[in-house]
Amino acid sequence: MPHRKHNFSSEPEHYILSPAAEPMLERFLFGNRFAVLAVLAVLTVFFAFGLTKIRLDSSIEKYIPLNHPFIQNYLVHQDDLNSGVANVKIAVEPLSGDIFTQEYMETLSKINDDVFFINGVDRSGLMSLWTPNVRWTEVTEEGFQGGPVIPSTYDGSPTSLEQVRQNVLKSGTVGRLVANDFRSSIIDVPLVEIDPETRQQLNYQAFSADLEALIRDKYAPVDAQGNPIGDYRIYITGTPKKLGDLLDGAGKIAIFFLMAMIATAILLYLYSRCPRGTIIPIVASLIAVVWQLGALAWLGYTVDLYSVLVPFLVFAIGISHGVQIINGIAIESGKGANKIQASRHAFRSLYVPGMLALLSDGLGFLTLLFIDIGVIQELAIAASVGVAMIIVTNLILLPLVMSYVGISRSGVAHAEKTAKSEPVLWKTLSYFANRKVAPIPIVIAIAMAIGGYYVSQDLQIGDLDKGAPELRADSRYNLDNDFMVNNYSTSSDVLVVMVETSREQCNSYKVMDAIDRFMWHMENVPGVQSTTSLVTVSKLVTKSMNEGNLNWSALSRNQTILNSSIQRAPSTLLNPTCSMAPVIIYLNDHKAQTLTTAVEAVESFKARYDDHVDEKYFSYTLSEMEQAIEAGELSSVPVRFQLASGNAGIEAATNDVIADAQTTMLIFVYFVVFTLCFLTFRSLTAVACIILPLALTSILSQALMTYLGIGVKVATLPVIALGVGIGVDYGIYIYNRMEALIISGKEMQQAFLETLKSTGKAVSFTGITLAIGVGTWILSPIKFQADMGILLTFMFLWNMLGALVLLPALASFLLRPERMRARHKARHGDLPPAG
Amino acid sequence: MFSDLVQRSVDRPLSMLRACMSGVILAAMLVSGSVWAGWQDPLQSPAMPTERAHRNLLLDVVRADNRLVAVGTHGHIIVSDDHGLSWQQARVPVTATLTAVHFPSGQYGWAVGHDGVILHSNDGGLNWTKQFDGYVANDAIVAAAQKRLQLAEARLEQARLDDDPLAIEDAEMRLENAIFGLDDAQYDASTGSTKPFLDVWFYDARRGFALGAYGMIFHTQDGGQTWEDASARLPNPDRLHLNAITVVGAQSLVIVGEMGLFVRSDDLGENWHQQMSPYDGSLFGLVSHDDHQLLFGLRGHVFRSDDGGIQWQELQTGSEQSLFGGFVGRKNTLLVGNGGSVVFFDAELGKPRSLILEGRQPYAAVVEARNGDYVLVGEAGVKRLNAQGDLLDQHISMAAGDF
Repeated sequence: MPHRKHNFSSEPEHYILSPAAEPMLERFLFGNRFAVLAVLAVLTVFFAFGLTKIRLDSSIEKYIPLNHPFIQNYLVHQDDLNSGVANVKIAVEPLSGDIFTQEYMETLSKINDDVFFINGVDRSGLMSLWTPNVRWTEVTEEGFQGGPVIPSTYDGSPTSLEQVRQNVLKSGTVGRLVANDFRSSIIDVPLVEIDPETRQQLNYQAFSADLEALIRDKYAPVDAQGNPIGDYRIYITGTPKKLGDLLDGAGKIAIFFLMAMIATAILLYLYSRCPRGTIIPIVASLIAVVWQLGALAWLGYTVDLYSVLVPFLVFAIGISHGVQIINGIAIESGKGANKIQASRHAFRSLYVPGMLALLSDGLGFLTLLFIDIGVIQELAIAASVGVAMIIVTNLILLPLVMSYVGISRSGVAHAEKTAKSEPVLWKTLSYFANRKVAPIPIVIAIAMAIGGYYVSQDLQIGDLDKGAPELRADSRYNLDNDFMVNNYSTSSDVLVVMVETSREQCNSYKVMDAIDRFMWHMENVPGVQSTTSLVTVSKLVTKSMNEGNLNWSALSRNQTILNSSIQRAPSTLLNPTCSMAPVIIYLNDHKAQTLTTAVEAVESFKARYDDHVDEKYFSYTLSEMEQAIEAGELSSVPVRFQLASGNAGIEAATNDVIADAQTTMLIFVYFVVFTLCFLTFRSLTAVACIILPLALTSILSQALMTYLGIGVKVATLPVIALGVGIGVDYGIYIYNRMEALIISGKEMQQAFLETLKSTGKAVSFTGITLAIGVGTWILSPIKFQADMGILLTFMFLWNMLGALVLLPALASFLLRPERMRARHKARHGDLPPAG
Repeated sequence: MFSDLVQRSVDRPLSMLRACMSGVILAAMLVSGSVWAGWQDPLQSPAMPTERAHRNLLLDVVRADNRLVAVGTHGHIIVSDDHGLSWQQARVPVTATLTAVHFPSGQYGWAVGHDGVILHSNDGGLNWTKQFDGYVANDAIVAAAQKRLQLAEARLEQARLDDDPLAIEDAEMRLENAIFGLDDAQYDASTGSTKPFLDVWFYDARRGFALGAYGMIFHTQDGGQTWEDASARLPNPDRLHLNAITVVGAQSLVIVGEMGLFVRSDDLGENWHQQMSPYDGSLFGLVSHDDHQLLFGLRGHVFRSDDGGIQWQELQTGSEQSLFGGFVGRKNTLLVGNGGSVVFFDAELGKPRSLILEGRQPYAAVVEARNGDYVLVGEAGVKRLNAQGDLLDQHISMAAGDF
């Protein structure tokens, strides 16, 4: 192969990479083909070995904004607040009648026994009508009387069933363990999260599977249509069950990946008509995926419900760049070049725009680092690493392999045929670059932008669906959750405010009274259903100690009475040192408006009631505090109301971070894309032609979110970065080619037609490949993955349309071909432009 | 009962310390006035405007002419001029839990509650001022105890002068009691304003009683300007809770309380004497109509007298729930209590008919509105019943106080 002096000018893309590097890089890679491939093979083995270290991460911390003040406050008390979180509730409902039948009680007893033996269950804390810790009490002249709800004399007879009914009424469990309508009852199952013997974290997925197999399938079997064939229905809720379901859902991702791969392979074959040209890009892209996953595993990263999606993107982006290389090689081969020459030419003409496109992808992803949420930052890193891997596997490995393998004759023939043909579609599309036709798409685009902007005014922040928003509204878990919310006095949306004071003071009169007022303040806030705290217990017990007389349902100023009133308070309502007592606020839902209203109400109360004293006083002991008060340092024990915990508290923090990040993200992504395009093309008109179609897609995708009822949430933020970062590729490829043709003297419409003939197909192929890759997510049982799938599919397709329709229309108005040619001539003389 | 157990097991040193602390709080409040942000004593904090008081704990409801007045938790006082359908929040200077209210006329009324608070209104219940609270009550009780001690000392001195051994022994015993009494009073004072009033009754705009926990009873003769500790007038050496006071004749009053406490005065509260109690559990109230009387208490115990309260027999009402409030209406008399329990009686206080209201929430008091409907208050706020005992599901609304 004779050495060829490069004989074309570097404009437009060489602003990014110096021209001198190009032949050197090409010479180096193709001069040492075998050695380079050998190194890449070793790397592949190395990364593949890393795959064995991959594990699915089920920690929740990565999903929340750890640096938000709410979360910081929460983390201080995390250990105190988490006790009691890990429990599941199993509701058993007879298909007909109520729970007071012999058959029901028998079945409940069996289920109770089976649950008892499931691995991970905290057996001492298990609660149901059949456990001895569920008791009824009554005040009589002699004092308290009580006993287990199901007495030891129970024999299933109508009389003993009637006794159970009476006991249930006296037990205060209605709404908690027994449904308000007496048509079901609950087995409350606390879990031991860390196995005391093995010190292993409980496997939620296995636990969830046990519940399904040993309880639900056994006692509430269903037929193929999901109709019950037994006599009972079983409903299971609780965070561990939800995590189990989510992890199950994440497992389905493998199937989606396979589906996407097969669809892509078919498409690739139709495009290239060459088996080698089909298999090799797929293998190269799979290698990119292996490298990406392996590299992250070696770096110690875990896979979570977001980063599990990155391989799809890496694969799809890899394919879309691979196909350009294959296309280039086929065209060169058609011109008569041999395998090596064809590969070298393809490499030479494509690695610069390819690199530029990948660089914009990668930088676009990195803007996600500005969002202070672990999963998003890891998604950014994973995707950026993936893109870096594609640069090696699809821009270097692929042409090198092809230089050995070559393209098949059928592939070359197909490429030649395509190059010569002038499809009606391209012919039609080319009119958009005609100034007479161009106003049509422009006017339509403006109308859509205005309409889209108008619709997206109603765009909400946060998760809008009720129940567990991570799962679909019609998922088993959410249906079960609906049942619990409708039949029991409970809400699944909980805001927890942590009331802090110094040690041993959480039950002092001042703190308790402040909590009491706070609870009443919150109960007056729209969207708040009810509140619970130590004060609730204290009032209830004080009333009970006074013969159940309502007049005594108040806080006592007598410290001894206060102390004894909370002696048996659940440990979840105060920490062991009694320096913190949580107030649990039940909300109607977790819509952003509800959360904002509640959080603002808490803050206005804080502003009035928080004691602003030195931090040290909050860790004072009882005697230190007494001394401090005696010394006049303080007038009373300090108290402050700290936001926030509970799912609603965490969501409020997340919404806060997201609302900020939403704008920041958009600015950064567009800044990156703008800078890259401007550095490359050195022309504001060029930037406008490329970016305006992207902006239209961004506006429309927000309108789509509004229309579909998808709020701005953790999952939708990366969509913007991914959509814009990847979407800009189309514009870069098309504009790059079109500009070259214009400079070489082509008239606008003709230049666009030729652009379409050479890259239009690749661009549309890329758009469709990417859409397929993310489109399979729509089937995911995990709601946010499905939402991301919908939005990304939409963005990839619209960006493609934008590049094919709106870009030429804008170009026909904005570009000044004479000036472009003059500028080129001034810089490069008569050298023809690259592209 | 249990409250006593708790009271008597008081851990003194700790409580003394806390009392010192609350004293410091109070001092700080007095110095800096109302501008001081942060927590203030409920006795210094005006009730918060709310639109939900009618759905929260309410403990008493009475009629003041055509107006209904109800009191409850967080210093809530609400009034209704349309038989309990819509309510308006009154302006109240405290957030203490209010347990009872009484209007001797349509204009003048008193409300009492926890922390020994006594409130007064002279505009039909719309605006209230504080006349008395637990701190003042404690001072008054200590002062009264000191007075008794001085009296006992003087008596002993006199007896010694007279050199009458019997009188000396008697006086020494009185002195000892007085010392213990002062000790108790001072100790109680040190724990803060801990004692709740449980009922209030006024004869006219000047003369009235407020009574409550641990035998606390105060008397006024000047419309509440000054209150005098009247506990020494009652035969109540164990300081049992006084749960309710009722007028049973032109000059006759009855007080019922803990452990079957049942005392009567026939001279508007000057002198009180023990009655034969038909029950040794807690009594929560008494209603009377002519010579018919109903005495009610713990666990559905109801006793009836047809001779003005001399002889009693227990009634089987069908309710096993503690009954806390009653009202003699034009056609029916009602008792209400825990677990949604309502017992209807006929005009002669006979023929009991027990029912359980949906929701099974506890009720504390009942009153007949001018249109013949009954208005009940309790843990879940206001509920309305028709004369047949059906819950009326009309929407009950409320407007927050404009302050």
